[in-house]
Amino acid sequence: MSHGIIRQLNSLKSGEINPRADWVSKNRGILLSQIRNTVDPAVERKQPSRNVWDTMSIIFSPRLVNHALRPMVILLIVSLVGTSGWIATVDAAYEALPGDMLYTAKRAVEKTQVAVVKVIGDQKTETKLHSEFANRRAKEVKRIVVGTDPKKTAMVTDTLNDLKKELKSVDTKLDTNVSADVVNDVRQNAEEIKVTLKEVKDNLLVEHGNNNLTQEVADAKEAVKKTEIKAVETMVEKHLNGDTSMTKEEVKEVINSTIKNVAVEAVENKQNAADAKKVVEAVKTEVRDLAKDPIISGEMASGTKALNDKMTVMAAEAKDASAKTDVIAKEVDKTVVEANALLSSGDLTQAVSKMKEASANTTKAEAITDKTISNMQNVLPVMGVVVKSGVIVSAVATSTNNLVIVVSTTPALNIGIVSTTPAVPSALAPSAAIIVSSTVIKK
Amino acid sequence: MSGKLNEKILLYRVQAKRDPEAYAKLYDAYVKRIYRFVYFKVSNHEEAEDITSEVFLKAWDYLKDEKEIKSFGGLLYRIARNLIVDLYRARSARPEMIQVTSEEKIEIGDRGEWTEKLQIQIETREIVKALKKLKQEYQEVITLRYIDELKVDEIAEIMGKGKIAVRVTLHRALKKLEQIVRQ
Repeated sequence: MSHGIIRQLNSLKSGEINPRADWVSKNRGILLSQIRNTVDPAVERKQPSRNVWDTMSIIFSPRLVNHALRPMVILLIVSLVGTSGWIATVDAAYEALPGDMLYTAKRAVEKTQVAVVKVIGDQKTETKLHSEFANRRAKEVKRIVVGTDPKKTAMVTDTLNDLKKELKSVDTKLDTNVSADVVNDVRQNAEEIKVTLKEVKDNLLVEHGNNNLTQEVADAKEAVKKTEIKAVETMVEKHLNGDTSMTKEEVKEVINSTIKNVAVEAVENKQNAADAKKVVEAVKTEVRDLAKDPIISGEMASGTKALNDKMTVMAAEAKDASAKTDVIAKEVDKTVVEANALLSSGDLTQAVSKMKEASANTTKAEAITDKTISNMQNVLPVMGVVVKSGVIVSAVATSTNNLVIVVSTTPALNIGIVSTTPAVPSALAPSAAIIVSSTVIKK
Repeated sequence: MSGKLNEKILLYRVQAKRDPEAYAKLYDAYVKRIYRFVYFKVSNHEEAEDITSEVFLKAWDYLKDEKEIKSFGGLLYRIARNLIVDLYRARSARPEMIQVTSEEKIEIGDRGEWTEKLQIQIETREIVKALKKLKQEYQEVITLRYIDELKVDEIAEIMGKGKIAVRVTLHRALKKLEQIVRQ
């Protein structure tokens, strides 16, 4: 029965209880004209000042807007900016260097990113972020060093400090329960940073008077190396403790490539020290010959003689350094062979420990080479030493004597370099009547 | 859902921009429902027409004040109910105006539009008669549910009641209606 009633009720809809169609349209017209009269143009103009949330409250329910939509939109904006970087600002800021207006924005975004992942508790992403930011800092240092900003020394120092801070954060994160593949990402980044910092160091060596900076870069490089080695260690540890994010083969490959890198570094250091020795010896020979030369007289003769004495000391030091690095390189070689043997026998822990040993030795050798080159620069007031792929070009100018000596370890880079090398600006002035000599050292 | 959203957009245009055209569209969407709602409570079509047009005018004024609107339909029904209460009050002041039954008879009988389906016509007439005999709350809930075909939560919003209360009222109203029809 009730179904019958419901059907009847439904049928009422189309029936007599409805308004007359002509009344509906007539009333519509009347209503429209009535309400049009009430529209006040002033009110209409006032409207655009509505707050965006009020406007949304009309479309959605006010409760939804205030309690859900509004926080959600804000969170979305924060996470957008935080995780992907927001369009133009961040694109531009990404390239910013310290001192630029947008650099602050760049760092703010980075901080937001870290804050967001910290809130979420995402260890993996946080680790990756710190490691990525460290990489960015290294690239910034590289760009600052080649730039011409008068405050660049301070900027490099600051950025290097930030880099070290990021590395510290990475180091602490490595102790948490992030998986082996994340640790491997950290290692890859560290390797990249190491390469970048090496370039930075080379660039600094070209210019004189950067001894302090060179030392700072060397410190940062050492920190990166530590992070890299720690990452490899942690990765192996995690792998052995049952982490399956990386296969045994992959882990082995990582250790293998790290060992290879250490070996290459050792050889490079040895080569650099040897080249430095050659350069110093060549300069020493030149200076000695000059000191004997009868056209050099008076003040110039005494200056040349002083230089000659200094060069003798320097040559001894370079020889010593070369010998030391040679010994270290041999040791590293041995350790690397052992590490490889352990690796192929599957003893990952021991292989890593050997790798660590080799790496520590390489760091020692690098410090020796760096010190020698830095001392060379001290002895000769103006001196640029470029170390690139095993070739050392050295331009020496003593400002007191207007003496320019150019030495190259390759025949191709001969005397022509004298006029182009940036290390000898004043030495080529017309008053520089004195000998410009060049020596080609046969390798 | 799209109808609901469309309504929200129209409402926004009315509130933020005072757009009469948008309001006209809202009128088109609601006029029949409001009219029917009113018609069951008043005695004749003329009164229903008057009240309905007043409902829409009042709603426009209400929207002018930028008040928060949960549901435009709910607002219209609320205004309509208040106007009807006002009408009853006015009537009680002038008792001679209460001639519901006689007018109703003339009304239905005079329409004369139903030349076919006589059976349905009679049934419908009976149902309307029975509906008018129901108490106001039952009348409302049945009109909204079975004639306007609103959902229970919409009715709850309009009547200012909980959903369960609406369901219970609806059930009782339908039972009562059945009783009246059977008599």
